[in-house]
Amino acid sequence: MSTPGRAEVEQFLIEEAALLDRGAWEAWIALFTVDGWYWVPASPAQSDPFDHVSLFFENRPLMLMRAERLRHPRAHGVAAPIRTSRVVGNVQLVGGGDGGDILARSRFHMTEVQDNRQRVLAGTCIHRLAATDEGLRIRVKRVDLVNADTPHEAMQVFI
Amino acid sequence: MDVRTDTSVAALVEDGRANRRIYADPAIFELEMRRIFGRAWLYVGHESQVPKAGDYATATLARQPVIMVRGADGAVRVLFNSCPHRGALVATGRGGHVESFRCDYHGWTFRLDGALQSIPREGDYAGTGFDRACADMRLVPRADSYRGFVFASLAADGPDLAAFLGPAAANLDNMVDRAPDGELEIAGGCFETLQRNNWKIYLENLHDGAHAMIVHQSSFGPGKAAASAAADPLTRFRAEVVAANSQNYEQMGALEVTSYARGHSDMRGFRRAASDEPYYLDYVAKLEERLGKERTEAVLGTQRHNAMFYPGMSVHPVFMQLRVIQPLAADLTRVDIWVLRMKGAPAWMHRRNVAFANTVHSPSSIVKADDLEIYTRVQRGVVAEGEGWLDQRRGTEAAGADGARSTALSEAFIRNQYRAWRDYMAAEA
Ligand code: FES
Ligand SMILES: [Fe+2]
Repeated sequence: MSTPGRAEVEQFLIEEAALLDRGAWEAWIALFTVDGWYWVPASPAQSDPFDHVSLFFENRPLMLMRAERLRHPRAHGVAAPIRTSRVVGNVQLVGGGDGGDILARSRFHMTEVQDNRQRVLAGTCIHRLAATDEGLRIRVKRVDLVNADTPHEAMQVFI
Repeated sequence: MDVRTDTSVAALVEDGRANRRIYADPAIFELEMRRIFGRAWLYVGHESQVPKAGDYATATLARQPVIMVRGADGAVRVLFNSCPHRGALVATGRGGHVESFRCDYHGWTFRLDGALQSIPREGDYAGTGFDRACADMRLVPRADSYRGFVFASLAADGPDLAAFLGPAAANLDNMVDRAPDGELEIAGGCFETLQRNNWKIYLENLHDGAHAMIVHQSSFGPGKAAASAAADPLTRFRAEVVAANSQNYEQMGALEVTSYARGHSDMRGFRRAASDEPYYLDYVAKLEERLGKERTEAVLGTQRHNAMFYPGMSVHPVFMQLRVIQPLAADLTRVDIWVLRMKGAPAWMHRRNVAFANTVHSPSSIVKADDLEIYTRVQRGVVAEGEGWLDQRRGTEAAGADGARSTALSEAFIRNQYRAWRDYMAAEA
């Protein structure tokens, strides 16, 4: 595929967010390359997912494990469904990565509602994207929450 | 009721049952802060967080702000984090390094041991009756450390730290002994988490083997599937940790739980800890260099899944996790989870333990998500009056050499926690 521009990357990120808002976990996971990683650091500017704890640090088998749990009829934590609404914006291409990858930075706001409780999560996403014959694929999605290092309640769905 | 002298509250707990009021009544919560958290030894931090003179870390004990600081004399002290002038926090943030403390309100400064150093325009106090000798930052009444773990007590009297920890201290010994260099350090950040439940609901779950196959049904199946799909050892390890909750009643009933004096307890391990990965074999070899083969086998063979130091701290010795339980309100509890790094161990040992924390202690843990939901349901349920008492009689216990033996299917450790609760609550304070 020819190198996508900012508009195509933005469209991709909007569609990615829509899959998450719909709870289409498997379709969302399929956007990752087979060796892709999803990472939400627990500290701002965290450089390392191995020697430091992370809010999420999952490859495809672990993402699928989470998706399967979310669909399980006895997943008590989601007995009351979680509904989310994401807005993605400020999309910037921040230079190519290794081997022709695309590095995109964007901002997001996500409102999450469960039962009678509502919270807002917001921050920056860095996507390392590969342009493949099937379209853009995610090698790494890194989500830096503005409140990464404040006390948190449960986070059950992908951000 | 007069919170200082009313001891009738102790009658809300009997051997084998607890009254629903103790989970939701704000007055009882205040009394617990005073009589239990105000007396017990509470974990403050680890000495490795303050290696040099002037290094400090902030903490909260029974909702009160404190500072753990290494003094010029090398001693670690615990000070109340409040200026003796008009009360402002003196240290802010999680920690750092200072030559001396300076309050940012009117600029009073204090030495690392809390002694008043200087007051801008101190002459203004001439003739006012102000006594410089009474203007030091206050030390928390008692502080002590056990093999690097720093504790403090808000009460001037009571058992010393070693007596308080009792035989449960063997769990801290085991953690330190597991390090090839014989030392641990805090490393790799911290999960700060909030639970919408009373602190005691959380403690009652710590060795509850009867809940796992009910509460964790949604995750252990997917865990098994992920373990067989995993292509690398770390992913397999994480998936197996999730799958381990599928233990049946026979397996849980075979897991030994020991209850000690003052509400402490521990439970034998059931998750895979040894491995044939090169880094693990390298680790065992390094440990053998220090301890020899026989002692290494004894140290690694002591497989405790977790240990509870009532009321505010829990450790997973094998995976080097440390949880600090801080009640914030009758229905709100903060739990911070730290990982300790074994000095001298191959890097992947710490990475494995970080992966364990990511799997079971992260706010995103698919295991914990269902526990948290159930704790919330208990909190929401207990306010229903109906039958006023909740039952804790499941399973028996038998006297052992250093504590009472039971299994993960017994509520003996819960009864033990409530004996401690009653002892603390029955004494005026
Ligand atoms: S309150 Fe600290 S100097 Fe005044
Ligand atoms: Fe559990």
